[in-house]
Amino acid sequence: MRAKYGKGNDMTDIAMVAPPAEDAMARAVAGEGPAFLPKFSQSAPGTMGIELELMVLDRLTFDLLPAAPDILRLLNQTKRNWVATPEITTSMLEVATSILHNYGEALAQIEEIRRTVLRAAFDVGAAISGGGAHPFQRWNEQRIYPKERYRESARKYGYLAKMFTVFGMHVHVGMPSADDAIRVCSALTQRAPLFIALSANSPCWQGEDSGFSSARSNVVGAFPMSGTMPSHIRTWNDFVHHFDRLAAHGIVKSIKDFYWDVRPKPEYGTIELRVLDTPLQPAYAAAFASYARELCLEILHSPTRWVDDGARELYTWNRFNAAKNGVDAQWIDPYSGREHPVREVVRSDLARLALRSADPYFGAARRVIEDLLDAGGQARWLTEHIAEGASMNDVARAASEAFEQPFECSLQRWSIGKAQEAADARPAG
Amino acid sequence: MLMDDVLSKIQLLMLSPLASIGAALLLSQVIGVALQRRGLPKLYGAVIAGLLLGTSGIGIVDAPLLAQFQELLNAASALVLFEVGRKMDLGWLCRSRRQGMALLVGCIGRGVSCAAVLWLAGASAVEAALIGSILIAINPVVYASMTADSDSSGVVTYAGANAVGLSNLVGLLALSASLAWLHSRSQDAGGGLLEELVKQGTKLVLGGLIAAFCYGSYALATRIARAQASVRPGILLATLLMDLGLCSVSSSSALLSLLLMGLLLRNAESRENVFQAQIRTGQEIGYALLFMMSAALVDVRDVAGWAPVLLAVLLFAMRMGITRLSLSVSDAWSSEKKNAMAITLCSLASVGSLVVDTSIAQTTGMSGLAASVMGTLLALNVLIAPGLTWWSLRLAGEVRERE
Repeated sequence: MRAKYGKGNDMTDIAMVAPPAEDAMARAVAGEGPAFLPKFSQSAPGTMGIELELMVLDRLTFDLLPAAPDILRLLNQTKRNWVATPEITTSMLEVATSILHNYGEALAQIEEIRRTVLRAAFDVGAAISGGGAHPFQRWNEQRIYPKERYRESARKYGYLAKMFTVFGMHVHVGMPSADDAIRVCSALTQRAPLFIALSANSPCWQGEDSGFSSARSNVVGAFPMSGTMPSHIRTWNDFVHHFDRLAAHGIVKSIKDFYWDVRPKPEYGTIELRVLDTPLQPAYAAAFASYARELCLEILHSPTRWVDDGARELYTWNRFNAAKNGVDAQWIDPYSGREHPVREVVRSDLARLALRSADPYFGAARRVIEDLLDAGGQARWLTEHIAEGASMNDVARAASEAFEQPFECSLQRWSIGKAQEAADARPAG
Repeated sequence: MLMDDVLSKIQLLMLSPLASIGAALLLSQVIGVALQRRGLPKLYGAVIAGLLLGTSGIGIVDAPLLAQFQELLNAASALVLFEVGRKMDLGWLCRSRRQGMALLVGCIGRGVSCAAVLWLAGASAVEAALIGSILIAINPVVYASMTADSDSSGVVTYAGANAVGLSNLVGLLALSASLAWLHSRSQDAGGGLLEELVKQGTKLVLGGLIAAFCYGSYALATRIARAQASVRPGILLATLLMDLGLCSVSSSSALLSLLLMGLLLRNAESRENVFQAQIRTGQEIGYALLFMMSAALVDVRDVAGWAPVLLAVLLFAMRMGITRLSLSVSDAWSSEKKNAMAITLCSLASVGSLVVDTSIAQTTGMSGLAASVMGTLLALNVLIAPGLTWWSLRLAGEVRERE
């Protein structure tokens, strides 16, 4: 079987008679048509978009509630410039921003999304929460969203489809060309564990304290096309050949079948960072996305550095370490081989990026992230509740209440308070 | 000789009220499980057992036998209402505005329209008001059993639980006023309507105060003991027993008191959401027992005469219609969900325990027509309300898929 894709003007015969790209893409994603990889669209470098997968909860027990279709029905009646879509199970709701240009814009739109989604959920009697994994949901109790694409996933992946009731944040960053996208994708992948550590907030899994800061990160690894982009891919053409080869075996049908930590998104002209737990407080999403955006811009304007195949084990270790220990983790630099605390690396990144950033609000994003680093991360906020005797229901309730607060929320006050404590504890001078 | 001994022992066992109830419960569980295996509602096991062993059948479980368990039944009914209160989300009912309003309008609409129809059909005004008040309430046992049986969750299930709570609260208040009116007209009444209203109001107020006291004791105890989530249900059970006891000695409304206790726990104490899972099995058996007893009291031979049957069917259908109409106030639910919700909330409660029985028929001053209509309604409720509730949850698409 030959995959259908456009290669600039060099269209294959099959592609020339194919239906319009959007339709072909939709059919491939739904598993109804042949494999299809669209052309890489151009987009303005540094523009960004944020996707958040949110939990829909019961207002009494704070268990997952299959009410996403009802909330979407209400959201579809409102006028907005952002998107709300279903996800694989009916307790998941995905929201995506419009194209954003800086932290200020991101923060404003995320806040608007938070308010609107909360209102719609409340109207139907549901609560909303951030967080990477629900503390006590049982995977077998989840319901597949009544849509062919998701039913197809359920048939293909079996129980993994329901296990995938985890909640991530994806950041899209605009790329000027397809080759740049592959280059930035490869370099950003090496720093993805920093984002796992920074966003980690899923310490509980299936009713137990998992001992991990981000239990969600372990779930994605079960999918066959998870992991990282292979190191031999260095141009868009390499990627197209890779896609072709897998499509010929029927392994992939569209870009959505690649569950890589960072992947190109040709139809948007972006690269997509996919490793973050959805933040408990949506405003953190804006700060994390701004950090990712500045890193991408820096990589884009720096000389190319490729990692070799030997970096794969280091990456796996960095990823595991970040998921396990959150912001207390260590990170091994794949280029120098030296080990550093995640906190130190992120601080150093932020300081360096602040000097070159053209975003007038980046300083504010930096402060939010640094406060969170000092406080010990969101996972610690949840485990402190457990240590104080909270049940799993209470943990889910606390997370939901954090989402309900505007940015100046208890979670942020806790974060600033902890940061202050840490500063006071440091020796003078 | 030996055979005679064995037979006499079996007869003795049959005379034991507890053994009879146990045997009836066993039968209801066996039939229920067999039905469930065939994809049918388990609660019908209790209905069939009740009809077979009760007044309609061989008469082992009858009114005199159940009278011996009155205290237990009262406590069970009050605990059912505690669960009803615990599922009422006051914040949502008040702040969602249209949704809360729709459910409240449904309560008032059901009461007023049923009373009006009964009055037009020839019942006296006071009888019509009394039965109208009862018909406000949705049966919590039917609703909770069917949602548990179907493992349903979603917006209809959630709104339904709130509607059950609200309807029972409004029904209790309306029933108190109607009973005061009824008592003031009876021949042996000592005082007028105002005096009876004060009497009924005092029962309610006392019940409310006891609920506040017991809830306060619970909140204080958990804080003093710094009780973790897993041990709080034990403390809660102790304060619930205190509440029941205090209501019993003060002749105050235990039903309202326990309902308010649940309401306080749900809305003032956001930590308390672990109780449900831990008592679920016991709760389901309790529901089956209560419903079996209710079914046992239904005498299908009493359902006779086309006029009461027609009127009862009209009232049963009208309650669903009014509920559906009231839901039009809100646009938070789709039409399909509204239709399903109206059917889900079709079951009805009774005067004494807010669980189906025929005690209303014995209430002073109840005419033949009213008693007959009420008896038919209760029979309809036992026979078809669980099935309709079960089916409508599927209609709403809120039942967990079996793959």
